[in-house]
Amino acid sequence: MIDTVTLALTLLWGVAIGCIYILMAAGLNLIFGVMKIVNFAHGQFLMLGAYMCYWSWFLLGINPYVAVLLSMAIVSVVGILVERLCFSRILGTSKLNEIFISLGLIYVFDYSAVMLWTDKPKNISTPFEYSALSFGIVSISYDWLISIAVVSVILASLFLLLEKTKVGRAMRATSQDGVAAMLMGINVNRIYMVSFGVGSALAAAAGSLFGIVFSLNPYMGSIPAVKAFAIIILGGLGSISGAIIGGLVYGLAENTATFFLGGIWRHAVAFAVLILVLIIKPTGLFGEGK
Amino acid sequence: MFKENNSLPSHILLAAITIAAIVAVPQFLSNQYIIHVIILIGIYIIYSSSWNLLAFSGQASLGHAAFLGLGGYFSTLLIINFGLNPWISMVAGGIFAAFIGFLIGLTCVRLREWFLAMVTFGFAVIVETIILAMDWITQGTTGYATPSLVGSRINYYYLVMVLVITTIMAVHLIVKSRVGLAFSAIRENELEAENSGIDTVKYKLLAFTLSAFFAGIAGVVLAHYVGYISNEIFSFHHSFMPLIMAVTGGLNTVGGPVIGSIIVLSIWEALKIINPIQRMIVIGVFLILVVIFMPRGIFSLIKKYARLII
Repeated sequence: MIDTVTLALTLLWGVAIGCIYILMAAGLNLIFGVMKIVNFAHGQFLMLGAYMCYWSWFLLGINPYVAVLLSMAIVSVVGILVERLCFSRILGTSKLNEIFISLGLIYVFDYSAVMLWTDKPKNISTPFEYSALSFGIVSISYDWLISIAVVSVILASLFLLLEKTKVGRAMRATSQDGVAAMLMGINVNRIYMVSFGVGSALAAAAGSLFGIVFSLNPYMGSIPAVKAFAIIILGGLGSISGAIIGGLVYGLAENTATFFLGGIWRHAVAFAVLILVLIIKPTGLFGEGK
Repeated sequence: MFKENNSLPSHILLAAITIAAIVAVPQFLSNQYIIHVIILIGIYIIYSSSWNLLAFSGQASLGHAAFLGLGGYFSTLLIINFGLNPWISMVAGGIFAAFIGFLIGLTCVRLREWFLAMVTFGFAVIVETIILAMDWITQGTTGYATPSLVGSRINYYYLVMVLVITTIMAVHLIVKSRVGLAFSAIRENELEAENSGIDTVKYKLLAFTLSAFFAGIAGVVLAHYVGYISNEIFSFHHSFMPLIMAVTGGLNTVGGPVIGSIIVLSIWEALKIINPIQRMIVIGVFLILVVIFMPRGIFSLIKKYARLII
């Protein structure tokens, strides 16, 4: 009874959407690895990134894919400000405070967006909007393919940054042991800022691509953020490669589940996966210890 | 802890003043709007106290609206479909929420901090999805006009006040009992609590169940008082409000949620003069400022200065 063509498409979409989730999860994971905090308002950076891309395209007439870069730059500045003004002040206090601060940020960002851009959905159109690549009976739009390529490039750059540069080495050192890193002369506060900036920029890239292939609204951030969290739990806290595998697995699972169960279950599936994994292993599938 | 003023006469005096104030307020206030706000504050005191009771055991929930909504839905559906007595259905709403709270608690007791926050948040989304999917009985996004529980607004006022006092007393008794001690021990250091022979899983489950019960009761009263119920009751805002109130008032104190509810809801109502969107931004900034500059809440300030004066 299963329509194989639709199923093939579903899987293909699963990979594509998984790519966007990977960016989110990688950003969250980077921030967690270095600072040991979880920013629940990470999805708000995705939303902001999408709107920055929208603005660059709508007001300045820049090609949306070039606008992704601009959006990443702007949002990383916002991210650094948020880190300086909010998170750096409560580092080392109760874990609950991070959660409370994030909730405050969600209110501020979401409703500022409603004020600036109203809550009507908006669309970004690209030059490739109506063209698709077809493999026999299955076809996938160029926007999806370009998104997958953009994600690959961004992830490759992230790896280069972490593995080949001095800053990257300092970030890895801080994530292994913050105190030891400080004793080795690393300015840990600056590394926190850099990590938060890079993490937010990744979310902005995810948001821009999300805005290009779907549409934008001020509340678009929360659900992908939760999914990114589910992916991190699948892939293990603090591991970027875990986030990539987790993202792909999750994207496929979500789309297959939606295909079999129906659209309204799309978001509930995320939590079902999350809860199932946590029941089986409270620290995540590939996570070690706490 | 033992230096607090615990003498019996002062308690009786306090109780007498409270009861007199509750009875007196509607006599002198003919303004229906203020009565309305007081009723809402009362409902939120119950709701945020329930949230705080869970926080007492070290567990912060981001999905408490699930229990609020389940209580409201269950009671409404019982009355509409079976014509049950409103009083019985009110208790039934609380018990149903407690039952679901117990089930959710089963998956949550092993989790901490962010994991717990995410999973509780997730349960609110799942509960909402299930309610929407069961549209043959819940009418989906349309929801129901809820039958009135006690009739006029003034009756609601007295009902809510009785419930508020009962809740505060219940929470106070729980917190002061051995159960409350176990909650605090788990909150401060779960491993040590376990090592000193406390069955942490049992107590965390108990906290979930009790908390869900009071949240369910708050949900019943809210749904019947407002006059309608739909999936909107599961909104993020409803989940975050009790948290904002408890944090503002002071976490892990019985009085915190009371003061927090009064302050936050008063600000909330006063902000009606600006548009509803700016109101949300203000409440977000407010929460951030409280966490950064007053992490122990307003109640701790009051306690500190009260001690200086007396």
